[in-house]
Amino acid sequence: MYRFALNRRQVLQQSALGFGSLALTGLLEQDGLLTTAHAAEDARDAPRLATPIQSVVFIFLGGGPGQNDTFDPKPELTRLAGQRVPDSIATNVPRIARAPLDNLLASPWKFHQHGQSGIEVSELLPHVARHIDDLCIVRSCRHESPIHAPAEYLTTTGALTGDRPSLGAWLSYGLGSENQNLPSFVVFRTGETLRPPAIAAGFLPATYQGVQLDSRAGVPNLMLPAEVSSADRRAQLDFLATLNRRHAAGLANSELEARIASYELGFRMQTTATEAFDLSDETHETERLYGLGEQPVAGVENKEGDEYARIFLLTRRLVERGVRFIQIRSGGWDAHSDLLGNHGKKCGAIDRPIAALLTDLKRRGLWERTLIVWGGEFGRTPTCQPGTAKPGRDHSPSGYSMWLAGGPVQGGQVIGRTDDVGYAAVERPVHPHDLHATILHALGIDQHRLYYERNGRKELVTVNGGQVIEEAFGRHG
Amino acid sequence: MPPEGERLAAAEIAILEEWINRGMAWDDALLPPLPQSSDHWAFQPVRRPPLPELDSAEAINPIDALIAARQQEAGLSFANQADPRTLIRRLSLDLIGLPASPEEVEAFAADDQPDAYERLVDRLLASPQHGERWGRHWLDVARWAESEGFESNHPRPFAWRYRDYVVDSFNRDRPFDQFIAQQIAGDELTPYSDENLVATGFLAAARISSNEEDKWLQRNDVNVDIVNAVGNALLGISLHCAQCHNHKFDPFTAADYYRLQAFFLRGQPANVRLRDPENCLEHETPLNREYEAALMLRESLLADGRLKYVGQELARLSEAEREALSIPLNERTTTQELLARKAALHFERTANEYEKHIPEADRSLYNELKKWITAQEKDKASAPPQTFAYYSPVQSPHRLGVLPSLGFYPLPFEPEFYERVRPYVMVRGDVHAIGRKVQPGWPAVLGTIQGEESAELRRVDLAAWLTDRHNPLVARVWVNRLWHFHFGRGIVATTDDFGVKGAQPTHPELLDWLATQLVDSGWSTKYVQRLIVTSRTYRQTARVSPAALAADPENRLVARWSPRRLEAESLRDAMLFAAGELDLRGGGASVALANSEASLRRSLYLFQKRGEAGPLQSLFDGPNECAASCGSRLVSTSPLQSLYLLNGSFAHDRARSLAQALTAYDGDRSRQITESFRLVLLRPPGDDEREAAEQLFAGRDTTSALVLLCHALLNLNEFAYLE
Repeated sequence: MYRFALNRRQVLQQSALGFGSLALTGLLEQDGLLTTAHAAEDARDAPRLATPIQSVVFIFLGGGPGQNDTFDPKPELTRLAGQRVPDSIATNVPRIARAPLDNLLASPWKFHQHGQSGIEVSELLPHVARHIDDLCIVRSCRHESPIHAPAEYLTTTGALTGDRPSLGAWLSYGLGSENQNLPSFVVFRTGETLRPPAIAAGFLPATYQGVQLDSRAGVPNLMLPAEVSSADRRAQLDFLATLNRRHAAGLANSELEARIASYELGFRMQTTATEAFDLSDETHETERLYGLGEQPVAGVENKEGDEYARIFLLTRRLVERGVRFIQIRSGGWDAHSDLLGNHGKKCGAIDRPIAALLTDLKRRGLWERTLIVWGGEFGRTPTCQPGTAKPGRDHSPSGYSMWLAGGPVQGGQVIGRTDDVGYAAVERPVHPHDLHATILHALGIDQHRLYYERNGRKELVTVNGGQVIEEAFGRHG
Repeated sequence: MPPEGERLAAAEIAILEEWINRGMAWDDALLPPLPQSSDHWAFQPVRRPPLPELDSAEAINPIDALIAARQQEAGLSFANQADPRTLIRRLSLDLIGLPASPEEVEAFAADDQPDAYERLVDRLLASPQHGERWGRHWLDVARWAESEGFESNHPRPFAWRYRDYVVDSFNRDRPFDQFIAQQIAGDELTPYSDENLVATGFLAAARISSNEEDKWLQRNDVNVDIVNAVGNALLGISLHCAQCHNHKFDPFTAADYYRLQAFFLRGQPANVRLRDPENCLEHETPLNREYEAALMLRESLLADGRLKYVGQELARLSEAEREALSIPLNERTTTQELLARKAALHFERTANEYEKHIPEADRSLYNELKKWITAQEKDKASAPPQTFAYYSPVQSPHRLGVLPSLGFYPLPFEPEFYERVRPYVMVRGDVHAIGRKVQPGWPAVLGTIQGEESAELRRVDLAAWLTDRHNPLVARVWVNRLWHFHFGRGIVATTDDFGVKGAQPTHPELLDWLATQLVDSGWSTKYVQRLIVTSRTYRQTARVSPAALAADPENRLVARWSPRRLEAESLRDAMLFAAGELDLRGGGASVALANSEASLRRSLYLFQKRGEAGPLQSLFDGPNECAASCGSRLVSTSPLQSLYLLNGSFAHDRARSLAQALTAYDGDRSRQITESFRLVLLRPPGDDEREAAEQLFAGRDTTSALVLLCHALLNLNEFAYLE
């Protein structure tokens, strides 16, 4: 039996006439207008994971943080500084563009052991390091593209081409929202310009695309125009409702019903979303935890000011309110030259707010229902980029670090290994598709059961399937 | 998705792996070719169906007879004809993408001549706005946009000429076979015309990853994009699966895929110089000529730099690599070819690298040129007349000038490369894992029209095959698209997929009848459109009894009209039109992104940068990334849309303009309310609606109340939907 490309309209039209409009209204309310539950209703795979998480926070470090300077210490790199990558290691470095083998560059930062696990973390990230026993570090991430955009699309959408739905769009489509009054896939950005395909709905309906939030203004178009009062708007909505009902009578068209409901929902969002963005009820202690209103690290120049503090605090508030997927975009990690200045500043700005989020989620009982993912589109070469005034590193997708935390993730462990200079993954390579399968798994979704049918093909989040990183959940073997 | 059955033994897999790694040699004598026939309906010849008898009371033309026959089987019958106000709004939005004016509505409602409807159809089909509306549909199918996509996403400032060509083609009802030939092979057609060249913008609309350093991968991505677009847009088949393996469901092989791709290996998208006098005369000032000469000189100096760079890099290659490169392309073994391709990657750098290697003697000339060109571009000289086209210096009989494009790492454009390049099957779609050689050709299952598998076949031959009346797909796919655009749902619901996994046609005889009408009318699109919109089927009301609704919820039997939301462009254009603000100037370079939000021109003319669609287009399922042919847009509904239309400035500004116009009736509130309904909804208000409107005036000054009222009217479902 085939089913042609499924969309909300068709599903709802069938439901509308099958169950009558009361059932339809219920469906719309329950799903916050957003879910095409059809394909996803049996996608949850509860037996495999007792308590699936509800929300994902993806901290995306655009440009690519260097694994050698953050979570993958290599004494051998320090020892061989200035030399060529030894042949024994070089043979395993994939021969892709921009993979120079000359002039190894030692990390300018020291690594220290932390926590019970004793995992080493660079001195660049002192706050996050204190949470090491909650982090599952994956040191063997690997793919083949050393170019920003395709690598970013692979990391966020599962394909180099940038034409597939972003992971957040998939989850909005598959799971809907826990909160009818907020978008289910939101995006915060800082610094660099956004690459739209990284948050797009691809072949899914536009409803599922990521909604860009301003860390101050919140949801776009939420504020009434200056000359319109709330009473004015209410009067307009009543007028709209009266005429829309009159128009829809006798057409039994679920799209029209959905559009009527969307106006009321929009109106409610003006209150609820505004509330979500109002930080005035946060305590001073919480503000201090995140660094709100402060320079993140004394003496470190930081053009973003306390924007990260605000974004991570808002993230906790959105997790609390059931937002499904929050993509936090931190741009500018592309340290081709001046690694020292670049990573110093970037880590200085983001380290404390990330640690604050981890602390805050834990103490508020949100830890169990949240998955936090940290990483860029790739890592950086252990060798020095040729021809720059101050030493820096080029792009490298051959072996880089990401971490997972929260929910069912078993912290205090390291998965995979790179070679002795941290160039290529040599043990337990993890592809972005594996990462996506793992995120789905944490949500209780079997990657093969959440699909969107298009041109006769069941499109999966993981394209052709990835492997769940079972060890991340404490399962070995 | 492995096939069912027992797994292969490890040893068997190892043999297959080894065979693949050795280039998948296929001995046609030893190994039988794959079966190349299919009984799938869409691949069978189009046959003119016998027409059921026309019942003049029921049917206006044979479409109605064929539709009625199916309805009768299900115990359904045609709904009543919609009222005149609904019909003229429907026709106008459908045929020109704009609502009618209140005056046109009144005139039509009052016209009791028997041919009033037909005259309206003719007027709208002849309107210059018709091409803008239907051209937009085709631009979706052509995945057209004005930037490269991917990371760098450089603009294509001359891509608009293709958009104007498409608009013009619909306006003058260019025969669809000619429309295809120009788009597939415009640079090969003789005699030369700018129009033919501009039409190849269809092929050139491919995305280009201009900072991809692996030139083979970069070129291959473009070729894949082109083949997929040709497959989806014209043949209604998804070939992309066959890029890596024989298609799982449809009878297409990987060899079919690469045979089709072979037509497109010898050219590429580029800015190409126009040369027809009407496009060039104005440009022919001494300064412009000097500027263009300077551009050419700069390019040739850069080419010198590249040559020197390549020479220097050659010395750094291994013996084996140098040897592989020295063997003529068509004599290389697969291994040598692979080695040569990898080695050649060392040569591909940006202009920045090449200019460092320009011979010392020319260096200062080059620097001066660069400075002078930059200065000219700032204010005086204008860019030479050019278009973003697809051009093969090998297959085209015309010698055309290729001008620089903005890409950071542009595609190679060297005639000698295209002279020598050979098509191979790529194993698993990997550009660096080439398998056996192939020749240009079309999917075998679709039949042969003339001598197949000849290296001499060009794109003109492909176009001839596509538009041959025996081609089973092209005419069907196009009339189905027309039906889809008119009714919101195709006779085959999956407009881009007529393959085995696509939807079955709800009315196969109607599909074939329309296809024969298209071909017999000399491929006249307007002829078929006129048949459709003058049918009784098209004129039905959406408002039928609950029993009729329940009998066919999806309206597959077309026993009523299915209302549908206006597309993003129509919604914007309709708001501007209702507010009396729409700027109807057509054609020319697109409105720059920075001015889009304030522009009053039709949405079609706003610069279409990939991934950066304006808020309305992006919120209302409009084209955005344009990564693939898109024959039917999705409709999604979200509160962010209502927030945009209520709190955003665009709709609010329109409401203010409307309210301003209504001040003409100051003092007569009843008239103001009536006029506001007439301007936005093209009808007077009902009593209860008037009462609801009155309530907005309570406690508010007239101007604010009018703005609120007009703003609300623009947000109504009735306004946003085509009924």
